[in-house]
Amino acid sequence: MSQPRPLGFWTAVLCVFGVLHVAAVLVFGATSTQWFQATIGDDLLWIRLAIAWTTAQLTLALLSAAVLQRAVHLPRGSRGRARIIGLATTAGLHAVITTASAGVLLWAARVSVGHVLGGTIASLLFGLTHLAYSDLDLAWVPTLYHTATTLQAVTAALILVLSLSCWFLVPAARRERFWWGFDAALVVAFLAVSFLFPLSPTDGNDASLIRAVVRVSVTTVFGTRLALRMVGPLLSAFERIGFRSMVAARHLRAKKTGFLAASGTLSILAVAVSSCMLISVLSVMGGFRADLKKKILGNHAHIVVDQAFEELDDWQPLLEQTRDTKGVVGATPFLQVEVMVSSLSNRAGAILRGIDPATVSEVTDLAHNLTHGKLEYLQHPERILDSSISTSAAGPIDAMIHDAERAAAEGLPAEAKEDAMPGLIVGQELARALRLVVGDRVTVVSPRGDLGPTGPIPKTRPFRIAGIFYSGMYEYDMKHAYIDLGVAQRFLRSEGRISGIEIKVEDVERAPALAAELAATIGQDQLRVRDWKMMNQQLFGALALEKLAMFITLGIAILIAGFSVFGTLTLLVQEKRREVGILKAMGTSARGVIRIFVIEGLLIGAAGGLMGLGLGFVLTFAAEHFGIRMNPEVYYIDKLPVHLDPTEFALVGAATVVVCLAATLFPAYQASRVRPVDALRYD
Amino acid sequence: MSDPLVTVQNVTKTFEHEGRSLEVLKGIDLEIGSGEMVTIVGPSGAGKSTLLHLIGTLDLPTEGRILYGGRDVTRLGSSDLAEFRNRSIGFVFQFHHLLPEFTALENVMMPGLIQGGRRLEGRARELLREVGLSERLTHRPGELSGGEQQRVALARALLMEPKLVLADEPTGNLDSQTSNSVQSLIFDLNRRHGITFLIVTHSRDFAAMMPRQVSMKDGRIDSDERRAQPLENQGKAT
Repeated sequence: MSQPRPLGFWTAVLCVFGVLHVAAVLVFGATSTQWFQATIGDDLLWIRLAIAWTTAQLTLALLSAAVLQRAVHLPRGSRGRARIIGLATTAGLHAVITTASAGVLLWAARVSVGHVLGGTIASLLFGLTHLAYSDLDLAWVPTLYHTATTLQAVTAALILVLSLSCWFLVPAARRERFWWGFDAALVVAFLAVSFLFPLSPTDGNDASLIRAVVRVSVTTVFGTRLALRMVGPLLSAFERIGFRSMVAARHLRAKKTGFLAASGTLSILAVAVSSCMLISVLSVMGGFRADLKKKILGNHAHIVVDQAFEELDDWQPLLEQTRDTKGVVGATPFLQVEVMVSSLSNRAGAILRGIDPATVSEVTDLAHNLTHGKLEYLQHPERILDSSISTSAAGPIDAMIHDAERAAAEGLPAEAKEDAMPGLIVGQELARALRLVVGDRVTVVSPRGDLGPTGPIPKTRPFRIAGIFYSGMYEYDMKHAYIDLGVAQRFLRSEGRISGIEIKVEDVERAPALAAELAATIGQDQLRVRDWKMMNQQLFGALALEKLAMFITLGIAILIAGFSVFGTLTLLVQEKRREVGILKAMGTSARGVIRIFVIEGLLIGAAGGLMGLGLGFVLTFAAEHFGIRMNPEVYYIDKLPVHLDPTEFALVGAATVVVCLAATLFPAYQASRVRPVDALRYD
Repeated sequence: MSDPLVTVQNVTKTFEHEGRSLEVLKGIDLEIGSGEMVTIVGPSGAGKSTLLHLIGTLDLPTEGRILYGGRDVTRLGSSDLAEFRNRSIGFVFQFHHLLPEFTALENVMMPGLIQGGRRLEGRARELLREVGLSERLTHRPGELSGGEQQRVALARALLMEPKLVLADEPTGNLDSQTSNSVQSLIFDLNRRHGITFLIVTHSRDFAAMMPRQVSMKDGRIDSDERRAQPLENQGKAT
């Protein structure tokens, strides 16, 4: 090459590289902590990573040197010289700081541990800051590391800003060529990830998670570029619709005041951000609701038939009748009473339910929710001790306890083993509070006791833990215990009687209607037929209220975005006063002028709304498929629940459009009031 | 004289300015026949442009009537007025007032687009050819010279085949050579299509070429002269 490439080329390369570098560091930084811990022993990976890292820093340094050398030779005061020099210096500084700090850390690693590869680097980069090297006098290393990180962050932010700024110094034709190249690469990447990578990760597989993340990211960038490319053709197509849309589209295309101008872009962004926020929050709240609904429906029946303050006698025909009703999937009887459960170490109140193990699975997920033990132990408590060790997922210490229990049980007379100790299933939280494992012995105290000489004596009975369930609802896991229906009837002196019948229906949303139907067919006034919505009215009511409050609060954000649209349009109307005058002089009616500006506002709103909804969709989609981990100790769920509801997307979109429409009305009216004589006056 | 195209009857116009009223037109009576070439001359502030705006229905008179073929346009509603302007009147302004976001062709088509549809695209091309701009169809106003812009404006004024073209200082912003070519174009259009022109100008040369010259002073018509032999040929000679 005889002639050195002009400045624009290297600036472009530095801009692109700088931005990519910063983006890579950001992504890496955000995802690395767990990943570091996972790959801590993989020396080969770390050598590769170190090579890549060094190459990146070296490239950055060389590029900034090349740009700096050319930039200083530009004539003083020429446009963008200061910016380019600033960018090159910052990028160079960034590379030097990064390299130097990494070097210091490696040296410290060598001094303190003895070798520098693999896990050492990982432990250094993340462990060093927490370790005190008092014996080696390396206390300054963490300080240095923190300082370096801060400086890196600052320089990275500067690189980002300066790159964006310098990018516009690159000749337009060259930028154009870059975008063509970028888009071509993007299409290839998009096709590749679409065919090769999965959309949702396999559970517990980090590699598939990364692939899915890559696929969603590439698809998002592809979608964004595609949308940007489509703006021009779409506006052109829009222009062909008619006179008003043509003028509106042309106004928005104008370089000075249109889409590309600061105020237009800002109002689009304002609309986008607010609608994205609204839809994301609504989706998360919808997720909580769906999660709650799933758990409630899993643990409760959809419809409960019972009698207030009374138990049901002669309930078999009723059970058959409900089973035969159309839309009912299953029905099971239950007997319920509040009791006290006490273990060796603790005691707690609980709701004791006698259930029919044969039919309970038709109605609730109890069998599915059991984490330890089996449902069949309720009927065959003698099997608990035979198999508890092999079936429970308990650790070795538990196993030892079980051994002891087993030995103790074997010492008991056979009759006591079988009859005196029926099975009891408790929730995970109750088991934790009472420190129970499967096979443990507990005493249940019932308020329905005998009348003794000193007053009522509560009735007690020992039970053996037959299972532990996890429903996902804290109150449920803390408060519920299950025993066999027959045992319960004997224990509670309710021979032959039950509290009510639990029913599962085909379509949960139709449960209220079906409940009414059931009440009519049963035709006994003293019986209550309640559906799940009715029973959890307060809970869902509170959720709905909360959601409404969120919608209103965040709707105000859209309203503020609407103000921005209002401002932009008012500016636009001021700017276009003369043209409005011309249009009116040529015979455009006031209504026509109003329509032109309303269309412009709606286009801004639609662009912003689509952008926001798109972004919101990507965010919620990612959250739903990749799972944002939450602390189960605090929230009692391990993943952020997200529920994408097309209706809500439509609702938010409609709200955005309505707000933007409202924001356009006044400026458009103002425009229509422009008198051609005033607008065209020049003498 | 044949049936008048426009009749201005006792028109006055008063502007309110800071509580004081300013009478710009103090009773104007004027008749313009079909196919006439009329120029309004007079010193600045005489009310020429105001009269032109009133005739063009861009503004309403304080008193008096403006009749087009016996129809009083001062009583029309705003939509009807817009429709009337669109179909019956063409405007040419001193600063041409083209729409900057549109190409020359689109600017010429604009009155037709307001009506809806692109039917008049052929006619717009024809008009641009007639004013000598067939090579400039896709240029935006910013890419055209002053004279070219004024010719685009002229073509735009003619698109809807109006009965009357109102021109406010059509050559006021142009150098003498360019204004000569615009002037001869106007005469040419009048002769070939019989379009009525009402032109406000400060240019003595241009005014002298016109067959009828109305001079205004202090909001009144000072004189209304018709020449038997217009001096339009002078324009071509120079």
